[in-house]
Amino acid sequence: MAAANLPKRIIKETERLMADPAPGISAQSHDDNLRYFDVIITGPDQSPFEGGIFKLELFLPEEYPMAPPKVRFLTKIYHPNIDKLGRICLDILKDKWSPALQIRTVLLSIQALLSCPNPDDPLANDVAQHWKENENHAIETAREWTGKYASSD
Amino acid sequence: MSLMLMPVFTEPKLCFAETVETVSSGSSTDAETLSDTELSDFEDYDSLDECTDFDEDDYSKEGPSMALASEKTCTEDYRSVDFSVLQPEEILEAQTISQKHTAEILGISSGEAGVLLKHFKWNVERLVDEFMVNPQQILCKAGLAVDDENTASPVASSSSSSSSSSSSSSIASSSSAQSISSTSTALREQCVEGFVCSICFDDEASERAFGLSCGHLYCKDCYEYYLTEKIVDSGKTSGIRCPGPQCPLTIDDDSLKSIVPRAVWDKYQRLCMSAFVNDQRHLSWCPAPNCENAISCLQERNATFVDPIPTVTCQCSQEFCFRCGELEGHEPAPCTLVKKWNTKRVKDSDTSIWLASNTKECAECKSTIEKDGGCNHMTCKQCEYEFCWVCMGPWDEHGSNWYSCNRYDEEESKEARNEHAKSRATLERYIHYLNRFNNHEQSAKLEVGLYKKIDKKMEHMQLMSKLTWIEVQFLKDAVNTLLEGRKTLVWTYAFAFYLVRNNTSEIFEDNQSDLEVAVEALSGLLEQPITSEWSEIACLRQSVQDKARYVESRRQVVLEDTAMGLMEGRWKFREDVGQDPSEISEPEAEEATSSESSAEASSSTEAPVDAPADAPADAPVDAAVDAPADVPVDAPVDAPADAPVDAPADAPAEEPEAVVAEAVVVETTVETAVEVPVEAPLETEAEEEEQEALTVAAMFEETVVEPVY
Repeated sequence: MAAANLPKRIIKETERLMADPAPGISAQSHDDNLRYFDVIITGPDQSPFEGGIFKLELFLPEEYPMAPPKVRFLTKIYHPNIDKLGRICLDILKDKWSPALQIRTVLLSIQALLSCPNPDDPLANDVAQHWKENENHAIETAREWTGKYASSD
Repeated sequence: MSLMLMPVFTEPKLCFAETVETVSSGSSTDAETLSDTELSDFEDYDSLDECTDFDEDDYSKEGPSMALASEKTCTEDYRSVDFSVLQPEEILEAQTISQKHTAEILGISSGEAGVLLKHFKWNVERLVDEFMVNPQQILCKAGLAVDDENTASPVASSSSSSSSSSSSSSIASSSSAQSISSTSTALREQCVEGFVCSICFDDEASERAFGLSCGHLYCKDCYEYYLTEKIVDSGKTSGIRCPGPQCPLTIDDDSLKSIVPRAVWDKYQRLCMSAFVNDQRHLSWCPAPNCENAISCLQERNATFVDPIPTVTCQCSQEFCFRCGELEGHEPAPCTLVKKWNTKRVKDSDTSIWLASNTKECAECKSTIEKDGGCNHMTCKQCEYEFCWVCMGPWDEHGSNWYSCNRYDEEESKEARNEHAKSRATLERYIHYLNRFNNHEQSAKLEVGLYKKIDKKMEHMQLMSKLTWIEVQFLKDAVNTLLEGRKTLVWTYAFAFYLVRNNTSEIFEDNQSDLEVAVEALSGLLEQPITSEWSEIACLRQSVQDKARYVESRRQVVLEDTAMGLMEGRWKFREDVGQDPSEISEPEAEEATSSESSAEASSSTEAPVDAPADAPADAPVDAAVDAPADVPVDAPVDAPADAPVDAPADAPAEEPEAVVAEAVVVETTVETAVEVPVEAPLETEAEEEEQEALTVAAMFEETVVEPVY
């Protein structure tokens, strides 16, 4: 079982995520792989993603917490910083990672990214372009996608 | 530089051997003459005493400070390059000195100066300038202090996520007060009650917490793990920051040392040293594998043709060009030319040789065409020009002669062939130089194997004769000289390739051919088997020594003259090689062949021109015209070049063979050489060289009794 050599930090973090989940976020580790999490983030209010339920996967690599966790959207989303494979452009997941950050902070940051898309630092170029040229129309598309791909049923 | 080292190492030994010989063998050689030679030898190299001192210092490894202080200075006019070799300890020392020096100027601690210098890539000037303008901003940028606005944010974010929030926020408030003074890089140990490290969440461990003045506290294990990851995995040497999220503070070297294991610290120091050398333009690693030394040289990296070529020699005896990194150096060719030549060589060599032998060019569009079968009626795929492969003339004039060509001498065909010949000549010219370049390079590689053979020969010689180990070292010295000569020859061909053909280039080629002949002669001598006859060994020794000195002197002439020419802008290059683009001239078809003949012309109709360093190009050939008796002899090897010696009047007249040999060594005239039978076949050349060496040596011993000091 993987838990045998699982660092204390991961165990504690998992426990805390269960006991005291952040609002709008849930993370559940797999029984057969305690480094692998199924994540659900609900779209923040007053955003085009409001009402959406977004599935993500999160994996803690061997070097964690010295290396950042790997996170990816599984639900299709129209967002300038998330590409069609679900990869996320977020500084703390890359060079700004600090070992003092946690799964919870990472997921909160992703939730915040949904509220404030940053088309100036894009991952999906076409979406970012759309966002900059016609923000209202882009937000409309994002809302459509949310209804189409991220609705609860 | 390395070129300078040669005489320093070899000459004193040679002299020593000579003196010993007069005593032990009791030969009839005049002792006074020998001591004179010895004296003049030493006087010659008086100016190099510093070099000798330096090398001794370094080899004995007396200590970093000693060697640091002693800079290598060679005062040769056109090729002087100052450099010094830094051993790892010396690099560390230099780093510390630079750090202390900066700390004094800026009035900060040495550790902080280290962080700042790394941040500024060891550019002290820029650091000092910018620090004087806005010290606080610089400290913040380097992570030595926190901006007032930034102080709150990292702590706030960490308090939301870390369990040690209470303690960190209290420390943070105190740190913001002292943020102007930059004492924040030292890691301090604190005892915090109920401390839980926010990296490992381990609450059972001690209450010992470590943190910078930002107040982000972590346990020692996590700090160690974090720093080790930064150093070993990421290879970071600067900007290792507090692990706190978005915390800008940098951890200084002393704190680092106190936390990480010894092996990691060593690795860190190596990385820092590497960055120290790589970041500074006047430092460069020795390219030899397993050599840890660096070379310090103040040569301009983006040098023009006028600057000397900075060939430097590491203590591991690796020679390289400080500017372009070419191994073994590349004098006399300048760096830009070497780069051009190397690219051309890699790109063109085999391909162009194949093209030259297997293809022709379309007379219309110059496309390269390979004939892979079929008849001689060719149709160019590119321009659809129809021509005859045999005569290269247009096909329509062939009429109905479809499968044969009897129009070889027709005007159009001739023209087409001339055109073809011209474009081929350019290629052939290149191949000519390339072949010689490769040939000498190959020879040099083969002759490295000569060392082993020579070692055996030296043993053999000691057994066969009364010579001691020291006395047979002359053979090894001669191999050194030979290899140096080859190395120079290699690059003279690259240099010559780019030269426009004119008087100066002819002088260059004459110098080059003199060196070539001398090198080949020495090579031949060294390959000779050793007999057991004592007298023959003595002879061999004499001629090897003479020849080796001659090679060295010819080599110096080539290098001096080329370097001086570069400085004066005397050379004209055919392509833009970084100098005077206006001087480009079109290559001509005849040049390939004519240069070939002159390069190979050694002792024949062309008088070898001696261009001594002090009076070059202006008056190269001023030898007497009428009688060989008056030929001014440039004392070839031992005596300095400005002490002309009169040759004995009768010797050349009575012994024409000796004159042939002398034509190689001694300045002579066209007439002299023509009067004499010059068709000496190549095989006997080595013997002649030997004879000539003996003659010259004999002459020298007789005439040098009144040396000019």
